[in-house]
Formats: sequence, C-alpha cells, structure tokens
Amino acid sequence: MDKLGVTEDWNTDESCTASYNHIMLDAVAYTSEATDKFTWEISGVGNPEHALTRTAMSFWDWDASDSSLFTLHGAWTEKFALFTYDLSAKTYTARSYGNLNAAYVGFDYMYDQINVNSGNRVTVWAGSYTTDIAITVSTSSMAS
Amino acid sequence: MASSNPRTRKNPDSKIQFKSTVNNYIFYSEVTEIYFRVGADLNLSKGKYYIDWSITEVGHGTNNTSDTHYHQPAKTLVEVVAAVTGKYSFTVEGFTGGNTYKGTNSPDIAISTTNAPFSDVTVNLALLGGTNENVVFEPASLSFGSDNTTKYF
Repeated sequence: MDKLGVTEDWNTDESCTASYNHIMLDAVAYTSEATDKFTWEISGVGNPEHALTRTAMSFWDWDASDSSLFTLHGAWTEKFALFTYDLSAKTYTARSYGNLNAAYVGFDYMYDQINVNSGNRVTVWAGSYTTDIAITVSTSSMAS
Repeated sequence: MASSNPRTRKNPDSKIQFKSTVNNYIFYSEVTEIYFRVGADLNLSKGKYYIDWSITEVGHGTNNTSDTHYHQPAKTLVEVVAAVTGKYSFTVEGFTGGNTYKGTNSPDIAISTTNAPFSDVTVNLALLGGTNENVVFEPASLSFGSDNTTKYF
C-alpha cells in the first residue's frame, strides 16, 4: 500500500515469473516510497518429496548454511527473503525479516524430474562396485 | 578425505568411480530408465559423499532447437562403507556334479559375483588334492575387473 492509501497489487500468476527459487514481480512502473508496506502471501506450499535427515556430527553438519554442500537449490531451507531491484540505479536491496517463515516452494518441478535410485541414498562397500542403479524419468523424450 | 576436510567438493583422489556401461548415461528416445554403478576404492575411508548431476538436452523438432523438458536429478547421497572381508562371494554356476570324459573338455563353467570389484580380483583355479598333469584348467586363472561379474573357464 503506498502512502496515498492505494493498494498496488501484483499478486497474480500472470505477472510473476518463477525460476530456481526466485519469484519476480515485475513492477517497472512502480516508484517505491519509504512508507510502503509489502504484504506477501504464498499459497499452495507442499512438502518436498525427499529430504535429508539432519544427524549432526561433530565434524559435519547438514545445515543449510553449509554452502559447499548446498549450493544452487539449497535456498529453500532458509527463510524467505525480499529483494528489490532498482532499475535506474541498478542496485539490489535486501533485508532479512525475522518473522518470515521457511518453506519448500518446489518451483523446479515445472519440468519432469529425473530420479536417481528413487531418491534414496546409494550404499557402496569400499573395494567394490554397486549393482546397477536406476536413473528414471516418468515420461520419455522425443530426443535424447 | 572424510577426516581431514569433510566438506570438499572434490572427488577424493578419484577413489569414487562411476560407470554407465550400456547407454553411457544417455536417455535415448522412448527410454525411461537407464542404469549406472558406483564404485569405491578399497582404501577410501567411510563417509558420505554427494553426486552432483547436470543434464544436457539435445534439440528436436523442425528447427532442432534445444529445449528444457527435464530437471536434473537432485544430489545423490553416496554412503561409503568400510571394506568388509567376505562381503561378496564368487559362485560357480552349473556343472555341479557334471562329468568330463577323458580326452574332452567340459562345457564352459561360469564363476560369477553380484558386485564387480573396484580393481581387479584374480581367481586362481587348482585341483583339490594337488595338481594332476592330466587335468588342465583353461584358463588357469580368471581376472575380474570393474566391468566383470561373470567369467568362464
């Protein structure tokens, strides 16, 4: 809601694009004002199909902040963050909001997911190979 | 690797290997399932490792432009377990109690195992109760490599 009391609403699928773990609201014509408030509502949040059990060890944790283990698609384990991009100044502004929740939004499922070993871990004994492990897709492609 | 720097993204001294022998990780048209195997060196310390996947889609259609239809697999957790003596065994298939007549050869006799070794394992053949110049094994030893689960003599 801007300072004149007018609600500016981009809250529709048509004006949002989602890629990786970002939602973009195109607001080129909008001029941000200091007193503006953003209300942000995300519906239809589901559970991920697979997850890692967090069994922290003294030398190894699977925390979401472990950027060497969790890179591109690890952000969903963190809390939502709001970024604004100023088109004229070409600057990003971000702020952490302590009251924003974490949730899995599953944007990447817009494509057919390729599954390895049904999403389960692979166990291999040192000195040997495993037996055949399946990589599966639910729909076959027209080309390789 | 696991003890000194558990968070490295490098394959520890190439001690983890991957093989996709039949289709080499390629989903050809109208295929929904392919296979690969993971191997671990005998000296690899136990630990948990991740496989990073990436995919390349080949274009199709009239203009042959590539398009995205699939998402790459999520990271696969590989749990390496320390070597266990006698984890896998070799099995002799067929010919149990069969006869080989003098002056002839037996049919090919298979020796198989479920899981191929990471590096070569040699099975030596010898006659129980000492050698006999009139009984010969051909070949006298079978070497199982990382692609072999069945060999014949």
